[in-house]
Amino acid sequence: MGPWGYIGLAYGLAAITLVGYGWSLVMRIRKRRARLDREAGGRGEVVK
Amino acid sequence: MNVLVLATEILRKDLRIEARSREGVNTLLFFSALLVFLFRFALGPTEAQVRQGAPGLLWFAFILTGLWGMARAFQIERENDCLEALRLVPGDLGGVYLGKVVGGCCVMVATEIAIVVMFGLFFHLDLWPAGGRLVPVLILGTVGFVAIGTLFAAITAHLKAREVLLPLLLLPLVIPVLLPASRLTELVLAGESLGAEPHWLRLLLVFDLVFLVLGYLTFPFVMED
Amino acid sequence: MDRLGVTLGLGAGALVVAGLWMGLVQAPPDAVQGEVQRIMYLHVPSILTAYLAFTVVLVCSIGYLVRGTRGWDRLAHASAEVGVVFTAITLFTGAIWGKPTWGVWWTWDARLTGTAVLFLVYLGYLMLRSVVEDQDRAGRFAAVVGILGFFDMIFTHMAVEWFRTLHQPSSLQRGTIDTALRLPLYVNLLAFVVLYAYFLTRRLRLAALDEAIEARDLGG
Repeated sequence: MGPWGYIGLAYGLAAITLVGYGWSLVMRIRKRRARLDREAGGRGEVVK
Repeated sequence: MNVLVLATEILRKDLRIEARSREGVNTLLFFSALLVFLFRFALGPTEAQVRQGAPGLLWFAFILTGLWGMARAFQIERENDCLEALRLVPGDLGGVYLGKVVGGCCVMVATEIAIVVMFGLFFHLDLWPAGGRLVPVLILGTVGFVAIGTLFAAITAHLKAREVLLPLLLLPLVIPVLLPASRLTELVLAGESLGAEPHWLRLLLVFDLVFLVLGYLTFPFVMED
Repeated sequence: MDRLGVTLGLGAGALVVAGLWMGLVQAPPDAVQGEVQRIMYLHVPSILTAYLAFTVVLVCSIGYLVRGTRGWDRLAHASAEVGVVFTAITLFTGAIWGKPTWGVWWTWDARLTGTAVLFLVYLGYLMLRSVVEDQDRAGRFAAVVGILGFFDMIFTHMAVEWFRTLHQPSSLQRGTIDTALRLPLYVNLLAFVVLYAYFLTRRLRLAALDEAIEARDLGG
């Protein structure tokens, strides 16, 4: 593997880690919010 | 109650329990002997190998026995429902901490000396010349280990997964103490003086102090319900 | 989405793009190590960001023990989690950098071992939180780990100065880094710090929602 292979590997893995973590956070937030909205639906509560 | 009075009371209580049952010391001695024999099986018959790895192996044995000793100090309290009583002790809970630390150090250093003697006996190491310098190293290393160990034994005493969590939390955190202690042990066993590499000694002293102070300050929060 | 989160997210995105361009294209290759040295633009910012994250954990842990308010604890928890992510990046970029430079992926160098230990300390922090049901108690226990862990971190960082090891000493601290390499490094560091702040806002949001759900389940 040449130097750019190692660079690609490092940057690629870092990108996967950061994007993966960010994505999982955003998705979990979305899921929680959907749950709160659903539960609040019948009671007319406002959920931010 | 004065912190030191409280610490002495706790220490006396623990030592009295130990003196009456001798459960801890007996188990620890038996366990240490077993470890020394296990090392022999793991490393094969060549003594040179054992001698070379002696400092690391010794500290490995100290850690294993120490972990058990730490967990036990709070298990006794929990089994007898005395954690609540300790929490209600009049005065600074830091005193309870200090008492437990001193008690833990006594038990652990005694076990360590037993391990070292057995080690020397079975692997034909001439430890007498190093003995006088080895004991302070053992004590200094043990103080740091017990300072955090007591804290985490108190934390994990409340938890279901305590057998796994105690080593998991404790071992990475005590590296700043274990590393200099095993390095100093290596020096001393090689016949050098303690001051041969003063930065290691300094490091060990600094972290002993840091861990003791932090343990003293945070222990009351750990005991809080 | 809140305005702070959006701003930080967009800022982090722009800075990361700028950092990538500077690190991969604009910066000249290192005189000794050649192109591979470009991994530094990931490796160094990520460990410095992890240091920042764990320092925030220390401050918030003390804050929580002194004040006892949930906000401190939530911030400490969030920062620890993000710090673990950045420590992981430090570890594997270091391994990938080590292979062409030292010839091995991993070596028992003091700095490497120390960083791996640091990773385990904060992994233990997160694990401790996950096994303690009561939030206040989990917070207090974790705060103790958070405070002690900080001193472990200092030990790890100083380890390179005290032991003669394979790992190169910090170029930034010694000032032995050329301006042409220094500027891309700073831009990448800034990108990572802003990214850290963005993750922190998301993690805090998540914690707030979790607590809202829990409160609702309890209160009906």
